[in-house]
Amino acid sequence: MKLRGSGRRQAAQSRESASDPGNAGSKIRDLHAEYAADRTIHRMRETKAGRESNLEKTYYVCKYTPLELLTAFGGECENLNMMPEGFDYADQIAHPNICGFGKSVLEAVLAGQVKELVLVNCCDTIRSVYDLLEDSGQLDFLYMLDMLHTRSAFPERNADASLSDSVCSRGRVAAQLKDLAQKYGEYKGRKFDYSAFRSAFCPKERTQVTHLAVLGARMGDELYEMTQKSMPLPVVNETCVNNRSVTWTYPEAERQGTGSQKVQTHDSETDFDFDALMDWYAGELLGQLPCMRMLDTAGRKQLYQDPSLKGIIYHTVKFCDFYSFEYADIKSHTDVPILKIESDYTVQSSGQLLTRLEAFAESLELNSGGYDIRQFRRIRE
Amino acid sequence: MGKGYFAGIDSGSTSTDVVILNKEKEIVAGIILPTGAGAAIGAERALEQALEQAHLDREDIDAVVTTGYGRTAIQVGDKSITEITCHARGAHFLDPSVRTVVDIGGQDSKVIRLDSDGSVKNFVMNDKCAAGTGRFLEMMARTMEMSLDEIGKAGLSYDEDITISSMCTVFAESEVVSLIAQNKKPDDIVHGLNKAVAAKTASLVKRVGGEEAYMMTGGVAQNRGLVKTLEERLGTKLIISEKAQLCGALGAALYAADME
Repeated sequence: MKLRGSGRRQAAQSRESASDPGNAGSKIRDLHAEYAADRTIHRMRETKAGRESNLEKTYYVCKYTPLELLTAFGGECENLNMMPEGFDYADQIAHPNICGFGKSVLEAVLAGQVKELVLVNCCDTIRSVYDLLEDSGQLDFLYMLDMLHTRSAFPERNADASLSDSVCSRGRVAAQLKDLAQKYGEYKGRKFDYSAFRSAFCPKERTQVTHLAVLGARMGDELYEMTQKSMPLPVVNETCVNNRSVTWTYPEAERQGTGSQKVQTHDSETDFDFDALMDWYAGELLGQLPCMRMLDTAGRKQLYQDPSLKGIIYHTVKFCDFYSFEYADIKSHTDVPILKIESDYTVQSSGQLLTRLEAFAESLELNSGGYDIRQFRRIRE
Repeated sequence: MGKGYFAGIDSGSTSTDVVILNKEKEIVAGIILPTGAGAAIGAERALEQALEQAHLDREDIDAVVTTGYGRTAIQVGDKSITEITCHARGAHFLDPSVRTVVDIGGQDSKVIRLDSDGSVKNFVMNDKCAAGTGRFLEMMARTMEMSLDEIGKAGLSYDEDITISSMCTVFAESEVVSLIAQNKKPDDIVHGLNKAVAAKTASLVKRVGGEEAYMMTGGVAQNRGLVKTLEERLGTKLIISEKAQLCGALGAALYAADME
């Protein structure tokens, strides 16, 4: 499968070169002219995310994104997760059957909040978003990784899959990583920094404290804050991109620079095989706790079999196909109290969820030992 | 320091209800007022009237708990608790055999599953769409030039079994208008409307896993035609207390009474 745009276009698209990318492009330019005066931007800039948004950040949406690689080229990575007030701009250029999150990505870019974006082909929605953004020419750097759905090439032979099988999918991902490295490096005008790469690894700590968890499809920052405020226990975010965890385990012994290209680094003492490094890295990325678009999702059981987990808030996004299946499965396989909520990734839809969240919090407090209503929220809090 | 009285205020989209209990948990006042333009003012007025009804002063009240959609907007009150938890508490108090509460309010509907001790086991809410709520029936009553009282008594018996097919309140209204133009009998049309509300409510009940005994609360419980259709649809009897519309406020008052 040939990835649209990869290998053919310059990584850095200047606005001049995107002078006529097609209908969507000119439409976007017209819309863009209205942006400055439009209240959507003012509203987005007034949100916490808007205030902190930095046009020099490289945004990502998926946990399979090679953040450490981007950091090694001087990139400052940030999870794109804003919940807009509406989809005024997205509705004008996108077809209606994409999920709210896809639309929120479009809103953020069209409002000029995002200049660099690395996507992964998670689903049809993100593929559509990529196509639209590519046509729009609004981004200085745009890339979409073609991530496989499996760690091995032949999932039905998992039990006795030889090393060469898993090498196949790892190899394909490694090739992607090298392509991204080349294009991003060109765009940034930087060389790969081995020590920056190595220090960028910070795997997610698993909490031992009694807690609640948000599971399921990604949850917008605003809704997550609301959830945290309404619960009597700490809430861990295990949705989608938020349970990203990649560990530095690259064996020191393989740092010998034999054969293939040796990449120059700032630290001239470090000699290593970039190809072998990317090969290892691809395996680490693929080996994460699987998300629901992966073929083998058995590894997700550890998300809800934790004895310190006292309640689950299961979140789905309207029109997202993947996570409702998991909810139906978890519901019948666990005794942990579970609340199901759904949002369309707008701030307004979150308001209606507050009663459900608070009612769930109240039932957790009541059922954990009698009517202790001193836990209930005071009006003035 | 109060005199051993406790108040619960249920600030809903359509009505604000207040219940005052004494130390023995007997209801000494029960008020239902239209909420009007502001939840805060509506709550003040309703509390005032309840105090009058019980011949009490504000200082006699030991604790006030608020619930309902407008609970966070109200200034008066010591605690706020969701209407899910309050309806469950109120229903259990009125009849401890109840395991499923069906509450059709002015603008939303909910079904709550209870355990034998009255705690909430599961719940399902519909607050995104007005179809199947009191608002739906209000609109239809206007279209048919009937009062809510009249539409509540109509449809108990019918000749033709009409089905309103539109999911949406606004489109259902258009359907009703054309049925009227076809000279269909009011009782038959109202029965069709009751079936539409019953169908939406029944799917909520199925989603939450309804179990006997069922209690219906909320203002729409007064609509006899709807209750009968809903009973037919669910295949069960609905327990309807005369305090049905005060259920939320009653639950809130009971929680107020729990406070030291």
